[in-house]
Amino acid sequence: MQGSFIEIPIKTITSLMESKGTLVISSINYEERSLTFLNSLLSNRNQLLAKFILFVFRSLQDNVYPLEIKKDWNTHCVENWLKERGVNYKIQKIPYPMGFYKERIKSNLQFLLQESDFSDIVLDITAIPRTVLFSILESIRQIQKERKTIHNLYLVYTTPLKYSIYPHEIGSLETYFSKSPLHELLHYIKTINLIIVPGIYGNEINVLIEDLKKNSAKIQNVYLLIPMYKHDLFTSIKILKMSPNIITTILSLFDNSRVYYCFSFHHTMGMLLDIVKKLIINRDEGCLIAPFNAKPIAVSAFYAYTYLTEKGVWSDVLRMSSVQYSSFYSIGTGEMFCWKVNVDGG
Amino acid sequence: MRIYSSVEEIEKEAIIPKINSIVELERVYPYRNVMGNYWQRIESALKYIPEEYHFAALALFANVIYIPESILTQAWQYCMWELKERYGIHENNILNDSLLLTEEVDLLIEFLHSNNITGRLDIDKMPRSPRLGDIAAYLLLDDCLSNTQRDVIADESLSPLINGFKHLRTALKRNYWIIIVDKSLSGSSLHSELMKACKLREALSANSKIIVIAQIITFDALKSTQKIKDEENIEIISAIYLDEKFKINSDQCELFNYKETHKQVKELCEWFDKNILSTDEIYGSNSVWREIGGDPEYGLAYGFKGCGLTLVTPNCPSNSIPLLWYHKPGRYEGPYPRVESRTSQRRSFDKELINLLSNRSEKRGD
Repeated sequence: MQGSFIEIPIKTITSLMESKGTLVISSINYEERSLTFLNSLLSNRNQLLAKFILFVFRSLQDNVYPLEIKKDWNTHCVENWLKERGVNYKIQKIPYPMGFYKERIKSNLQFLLQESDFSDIVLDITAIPRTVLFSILESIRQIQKERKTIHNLYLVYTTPLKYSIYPHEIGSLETYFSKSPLHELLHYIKTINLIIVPGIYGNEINVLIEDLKKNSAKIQNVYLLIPMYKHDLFTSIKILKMSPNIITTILSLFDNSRVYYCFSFHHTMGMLLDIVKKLIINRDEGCLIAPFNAKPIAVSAFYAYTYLTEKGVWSDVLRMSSVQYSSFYSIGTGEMFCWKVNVDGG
Repeated sequence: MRIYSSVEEIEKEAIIPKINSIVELERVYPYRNVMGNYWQRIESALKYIPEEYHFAALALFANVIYIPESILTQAWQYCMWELKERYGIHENNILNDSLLLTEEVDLLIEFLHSNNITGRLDIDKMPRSPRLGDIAAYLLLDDCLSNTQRDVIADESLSPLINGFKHLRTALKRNYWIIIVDKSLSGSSLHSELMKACKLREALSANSKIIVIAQIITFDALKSTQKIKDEENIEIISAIYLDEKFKINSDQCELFNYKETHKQVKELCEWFDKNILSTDEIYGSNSVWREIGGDPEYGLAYGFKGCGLTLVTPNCPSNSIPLLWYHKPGRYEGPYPRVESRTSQRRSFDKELINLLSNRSEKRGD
């Protein structure tokens, strides 16, 4: 299936750096973990012939001073490392969230990808905002469809040591692709299948349940994927502590609801795609995916969305409508995970 | 009943949301043979605990890691999924490509049923027993039988036994030996299983890759098996991993928000062992339990083999803190009563049997 994942060791990625046909896309922000992957590549003695494109996001307004200072410093450090190693790189400053236009990043990427034929793309998703990430994935997918020049897409994700107690994503729920508020959408999509992966803050899933309760839409199937990640069981357990009654509420509210426990990112990513593949959806039904958990799950949700859309099934991915920058979001660096993505559906 | 703990204390350790999350989980997956919800059972336990330890007890109870049956079933499915991802071992070929080994036959059945794998009783697929010791005993018997004895057996109703030997020898040559373990908490049983498996593999000059699949594994278990794992190229696949952050008697413990709470919880565990457990018939001083699983300094304060866990599975493990599972009305009523599998220790001869087999192979120059 297009978008299926294979977990790979970091050394597979490191070996790709010796080729001019490799493009590395990453982003630097104020989090320590945003530097981990780049640092691991640059501290390696391998030849670095790959091209690096690094996004730095800054809002047109309401920037938070200490976060921007840290982001500037991190960017400065990476730029020095890149220069020292003589790497072919480009730092692109993109307005976000205020002033962000997904078409701009798409056209930038398409220009870059047309300029030279990159066969391998390494996408470090650690510090790329989800909206931007979806735009990048859409661009890669489009180019692959048109020209089939991209042979391999690799994902890299670094976990933090700890998350801040303050959530960044707040507000009400809306969809990424159709950009509709959920409560409005529930008026015209009459029957919905739902796949939910709760996040550690618990606010998103509580908003979702409230929206569903208030609405008349028929919920056909609910799949609740509860993380019990072995790499960080501690954080996983917080999910149940932040919203203790999610399982009982979902089981009591929806007749066809199933609870699955997922023991790794990779397992969750695979399970999400597996559910979508096996889902029998009638013409008047839709499928909403709520990947509130870590970013690799959002990538899996993207491929689940494209799979359904290409089959002619209405589908979308949920997200919170606003962002608040009230902390550094995460502290320290945890583990690094890498996957190879099947981009051609073979 | 009064709970002697201040609002500040309860808030600083987030005791209410933590206990509520366990109450809710128990609502979906109840703990067997208990009366009342978790809050009520905590209240029963607190009756036996001095007031000065009430807050520590609440903090301990709030940090229970409750893993019910349903999660454990899915943990078996995850192990199967990992076998597929890493080695291409599928549900429909696992009984042909691999030899499934385990100490407890029930575990094998659980694993197979959780993954809808059929054919467990087919003699050409599975040996009569999945225990390493039994396999060694069968091989020794096969080795010892003379051709005359074989002819006699073949004529009689025991002929399937001769066929069984043949199938067993073929099965032992499969690419993978998969050792099924439910929980490896201290690591001592797993270590001994791995030693036996490696010795048997060597005795048979087999090249099979040894893979362990476990529902739950801990930092202690990984540490105690690290050497043999590296030396013998053994793979360990587990669904749930409890690292040192979950170990009460470790400086790395992160279950509590404040160091002072952690210190008080440790004091409570040690008080409990000294004042309640040490006078018990089964777990008390001079008991076999204490002799085998107790720590010279802390006794059974942190559970069997000093694992210091707050893990609760359908039968709370003895490696968890006894304040959770010890239950004798009138003495103490822990919220997760445990049913002991055995009250006396049984001697196993597996190691001797495997050594005997190994010696015979060496003499023959296999």
